[in-house]
Amino acid sequence: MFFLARRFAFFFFLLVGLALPSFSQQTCEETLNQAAAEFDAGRFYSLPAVLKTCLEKGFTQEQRFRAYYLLAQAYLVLDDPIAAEDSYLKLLRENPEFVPNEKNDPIDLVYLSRKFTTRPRFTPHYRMGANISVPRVIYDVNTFSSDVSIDRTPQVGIQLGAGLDWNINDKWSIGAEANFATKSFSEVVLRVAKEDKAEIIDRSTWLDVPILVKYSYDSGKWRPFAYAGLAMNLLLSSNASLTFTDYTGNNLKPSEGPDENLAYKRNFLNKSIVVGGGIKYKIGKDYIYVDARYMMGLTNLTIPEKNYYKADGTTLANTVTEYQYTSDFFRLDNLSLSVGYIRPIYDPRKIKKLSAKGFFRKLFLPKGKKK
Amino acid sequence: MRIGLIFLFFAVFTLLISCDTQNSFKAPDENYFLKYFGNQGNQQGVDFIVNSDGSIILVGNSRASVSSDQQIYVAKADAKGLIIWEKNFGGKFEDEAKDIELLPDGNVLVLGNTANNDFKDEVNRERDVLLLKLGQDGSKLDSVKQGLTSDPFNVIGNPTDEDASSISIITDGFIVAGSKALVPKPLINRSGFMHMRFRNDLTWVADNSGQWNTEPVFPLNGESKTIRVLQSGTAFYAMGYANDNFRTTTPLTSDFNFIVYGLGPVAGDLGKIYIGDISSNERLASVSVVPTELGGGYLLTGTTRTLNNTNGDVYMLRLSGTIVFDQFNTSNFLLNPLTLGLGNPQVSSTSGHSTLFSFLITSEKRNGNSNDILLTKREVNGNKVFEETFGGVGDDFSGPVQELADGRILMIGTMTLGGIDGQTKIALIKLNSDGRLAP
Repeated sequence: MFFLARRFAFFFFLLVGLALPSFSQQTCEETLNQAAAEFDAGRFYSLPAVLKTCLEKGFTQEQRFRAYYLLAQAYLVLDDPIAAEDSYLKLLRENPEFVPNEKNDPIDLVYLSRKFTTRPRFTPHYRMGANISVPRVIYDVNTFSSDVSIDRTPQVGIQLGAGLDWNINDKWSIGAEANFATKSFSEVVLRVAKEDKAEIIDRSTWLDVPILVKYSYDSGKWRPFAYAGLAMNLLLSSNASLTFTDYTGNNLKPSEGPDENLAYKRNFLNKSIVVGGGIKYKIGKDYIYVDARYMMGLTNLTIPEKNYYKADGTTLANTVTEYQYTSDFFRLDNLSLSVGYIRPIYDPRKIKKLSAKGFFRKLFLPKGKKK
Repeated sequence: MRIGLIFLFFAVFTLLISCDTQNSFKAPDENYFLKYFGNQGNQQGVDFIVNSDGSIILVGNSRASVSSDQQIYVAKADAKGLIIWEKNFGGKFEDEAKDIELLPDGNVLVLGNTANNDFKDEVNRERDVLLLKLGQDGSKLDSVKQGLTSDPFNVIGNPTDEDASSISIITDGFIVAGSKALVPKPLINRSGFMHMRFRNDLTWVADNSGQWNTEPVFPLNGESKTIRVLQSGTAFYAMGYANDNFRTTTPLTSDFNFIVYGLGPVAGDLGKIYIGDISSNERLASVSVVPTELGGGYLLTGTTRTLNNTNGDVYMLRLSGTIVFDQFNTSNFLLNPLTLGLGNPQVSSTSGHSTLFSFLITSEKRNGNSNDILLTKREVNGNKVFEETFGGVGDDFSGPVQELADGRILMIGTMTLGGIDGQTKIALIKLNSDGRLAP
C-alpha cells in the first residue's frame, strides 16, 4: 500500500513538473502577443512593464529576441536611444546572426543596427587530416662515390590541431594554430657500388605553429577562404628506418636494425611559408570545413656539424657505418588536407572607431604630420 | 624612432622569410666528405695521391668473393670524391697494392706484389714486385713484374718471395723497399731487407750491375723489412725494422726495433742505427719527409707492442735530415721517440705525414670490441692538437693521410660496413683542418 502511494506521488509530481513549463510558456506567448498589440496600438510606454516578468523568467530564446525587437523599436519611437541600443544589444545576444534589412525591418532599426556588430573577436577551430612531405634537397650529402640514382617519395602522415582566429573584420582575420603532425618520406638509392641498394624511410613528428592572415567570404552556406602566413615548425622527433642490401653475386644480404635516431642532427626550430585555402559549410551557427595547405620549408633541417657523427660527437654514427647513410641538406615541404570544425564565439557589441588604416598611419607618419 | 620601427619591421620580416639555399652553406662535398669505394666483395684502402686540380687517384685491394683472387683496385675521383674512373689490375693469382706515387710527368706509378703461384700461405707463396705506370685516364702505359734472381740465404736457383712496402722517386729512377724470403722459407717470419732499384723506363737495375740494389748490407738471421728508402744527396737512407739487432747475435722472435741503415752509391754499408725499447717490439710503418720550412728530417711512425702483446701503441720520432750512423749519437733525434697513449693491443697500422707546422698521424684506437680509425694532429714537440676517431662496430683500419693546400685533411682507410661481419670498403675521408667531417 505504501509502495503504491509512493508511485502515485511520483507520477503526480512528474506530470505537474512537465505541465508547468508549457503553462508558463503559453502565458509568456500571450504576453508577447499582448506586447505586440500594445506596440501596434501605439502604447509604447507600457511595453517594458508588460514584458518585464517574462523577460526575467519565462521567455524562450526566440521569444526574448522578439521581445527585445519590440522594445528596441519602441525606444526608438520614444526617442530614447540609450535604451534602444541596450535592447538591441540584448536582441543580438539572443540571435547574433540577426541582420535587419530595409525591406523587412523598420528603417530606424536598420540604422541602429549599423552601430553594432556581432562579429566574433576570436574564432576557435579544430582540424585533423593527412599530409605528404616532400624533401627539397639543397645539397646531396652521401657516402656514395659512384653515380647512384636517388628516388625520393613522399609518404603519408597525419596531423591534428587547433587554432584561434582573431577577426579584424567580417572578412579578414589573423589566426594562430598549433598542429601536431607526423611527416614522412622515403629515399631509395640504387646503383650503390654498382649493384647495392639503400632504402631510408624518414619519420618525424612536429609541432607546427603557423601565424596566418586569412580572407573568408562571410555570407552563404558555403564560404570559401584563403590564407597565407609563416609557421614555426618545431621538430619533436626524427627517426629513420634504414636498410642496406648488398648484392653478393646471386645472394642478397640485407642489413637492417632498429630505427636510428636522427633528431640530434636536425634543427629543432624551423620555419616555413604557409599558403592554403578551403571552404566552410555552415551548420547552425557553426561550420565544418575542408582545408588544403602547402607549407614550404625555409630552413635546412640538417645540422652540418653533426651529420656524420653520433650524438656525443665522438665517432661516426651507425647510419654512416651500418647503412652508408648521411642526411642531405634539405628543406621539408608539406602538403596537407584537413577537415575541421569552427565554433564562432559571437560577441555582440557597439562598434568602436579604430581601424587598421589608422593604426598604420599612426605608425608611419611622423609626429605633427597627421592628416 | 619611427624610422627605426620601420627598419625593425622590415628586418624582422626579411629574417622571417629568409630561405636556406646553396648560398647559405659551404658546399659539403667540396669541403668535407666520407666516400666509400669498391664494388662487390671486400676492399682495403692503401694509398692515394692528389693532383694539382684537386682530383685524387687512390689505390687499394679488392677481393670480389672469398674464393676469388685479390686484385689491385685503382680509382680516380674528383675533388668531391666522386668516381671519374675505376679499374682493377692483376695477374692470374693474388695481387696486392702497396703504394702509389705521382710522377713529374703527371702519370702515376702503382707499386704492388703479384703472386707467381696459387699459394696464399706465408711459407709457400712466391711473389714478385709489380710496377704499373698509369695515365691520368687510367690507361696502362707500362708495367713490369720483377723478382730477385738471387736469394738472401745463398741457395742459388731457388725463387724468392718479394714483399714490397713502398716506392720512392730518386734522381735516375725509383727504389722499391720491402722484404724478401726464400721459398719455401726455412723459418716462418724469416726475411731480409729488400731495396730494388728501377730506372725511369721501369727496367730493373739487375743484381750483377755492380750496384747495391738488392742484397742486404749485413747478415740477417731474423725477420727484417725495409719500409722506405729515401735519397739524401748521393747517399740513401733505408728505414725499416728487424728483430736481428745489436743487442744479440742470435735471431729473435721478438724485440723488434726500427732500423735505419745507409746505402752508398755503390754496394756498401754506410752504417746502421737501431731505435726502440728492449721490452717491446717496434715496427716501422711509414716514413714522411719533413718540409725544410719545419727544419727538415724524417718523421718515422710505427707500432710498439709489449713483448707479451698485451698492449700496443703508436711509436713515433723525428730523425735529422743528416743521419750519423752512431748508435749513441743523440743529434740524430729532432724529436725523441714517443707514444700516443692509445693502449691498443690490436693496433695494426699507422701512418705519419708532416705538414708545414705539425704532424698528422693515423692509426687505430680501440672502441669497445673493435678498432676505429684514429687521426691525431701533433705539434712538432709531440703535444696533442686534436684526436678524432672514425669507425663503427666492425674493425676499421687506418691508411695514409695528407694535409691539402687549403689546410684540409685527406686520408684513406678501410672500414667494415654493415656490422661486425660486414664487408670492408675503402674509405676516403676529407676533413676540415680540425679533423672533423664538418665545414
